[in-house]
Amino acid sequence: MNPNHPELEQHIVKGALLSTYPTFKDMYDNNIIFGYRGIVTSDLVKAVLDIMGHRMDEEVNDKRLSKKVFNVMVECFTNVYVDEDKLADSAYDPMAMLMVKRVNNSYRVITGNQVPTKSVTILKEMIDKINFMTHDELKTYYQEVLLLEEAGSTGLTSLAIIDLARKSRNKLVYNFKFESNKFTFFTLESEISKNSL
Amino acid sequence: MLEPLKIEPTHKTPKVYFEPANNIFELSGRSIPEDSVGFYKRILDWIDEYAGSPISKTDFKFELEYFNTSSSKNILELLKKLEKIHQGGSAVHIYWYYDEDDEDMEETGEDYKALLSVPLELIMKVY
Repeated sequence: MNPNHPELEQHIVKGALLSTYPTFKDMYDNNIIFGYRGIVTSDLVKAVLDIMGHRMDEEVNDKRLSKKVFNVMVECFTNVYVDEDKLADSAYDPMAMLMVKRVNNSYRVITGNQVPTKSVTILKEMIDKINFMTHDELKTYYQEVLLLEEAGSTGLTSLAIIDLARKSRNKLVYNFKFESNKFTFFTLESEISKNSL
Repeated sequence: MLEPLKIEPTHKTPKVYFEPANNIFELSGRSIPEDSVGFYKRILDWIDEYAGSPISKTDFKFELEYFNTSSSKNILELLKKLEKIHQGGSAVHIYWYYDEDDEDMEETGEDYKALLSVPLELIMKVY
């Protein structure tokens, strides 16, 4: 504290609290147990997983559910690693979003990141197709895609989405927000509920 | 005999310990590298060399905590190479460990077992 101007120090602290409180309250009211916006690297994901592993163990009494949510986080978060090949492109925004929220007895793992606008149709069709499959159909489809010799990035994306649908045992929820002819912001939500285990 | 392959684990990559002289083949820990192809290349290259003169029975242990999709593709490549060694007449037995609460790791082991002809045994770790 500044001994010459204690009132100024108090004002700054109070002002900071006032501006931050709505954000905190919003997170609290929406049961957001983790939120991040920034560049996603493997170091960041490793740190987040370490924190969230402990958090989920404290938060959830059911070890199977806790492990399931954790596994979905691993897949979701590693899917939005920053694409270093695109960093040279000024239209590319490497900022991504990671979020985990609780809704009643379920947990939602949400990611958001830029994807090439030209890949939106393929991605949408891929998720729609996967959302129509039963758990057994997903298992067979996963094995088929895993076996493809030259998976490439589309194959890996497909495999990752099938994997998410299998692990969460729920339909995936997605949204595309067009930003430019080059990039679109893609959000993907996986819900894991105790009832579906 | 081929020199052992030992790679220390990191927060993002698994421990690799392949020592043919003592029939120790172990891949354990986490696998979420940004460049999984780059990380697994060294392992796959070593197995290619090992396939030239494998020991009579290779016991291969997978004890993974968690891994992502790009790693799963590389793990399949590794398993396929082990399958070839087995088909070539040198026995290979895969041990796939999973935690009792980890249904996903169990399912992944079942997937690999369904896709390969090499013996793959699923072992639940009970705490």
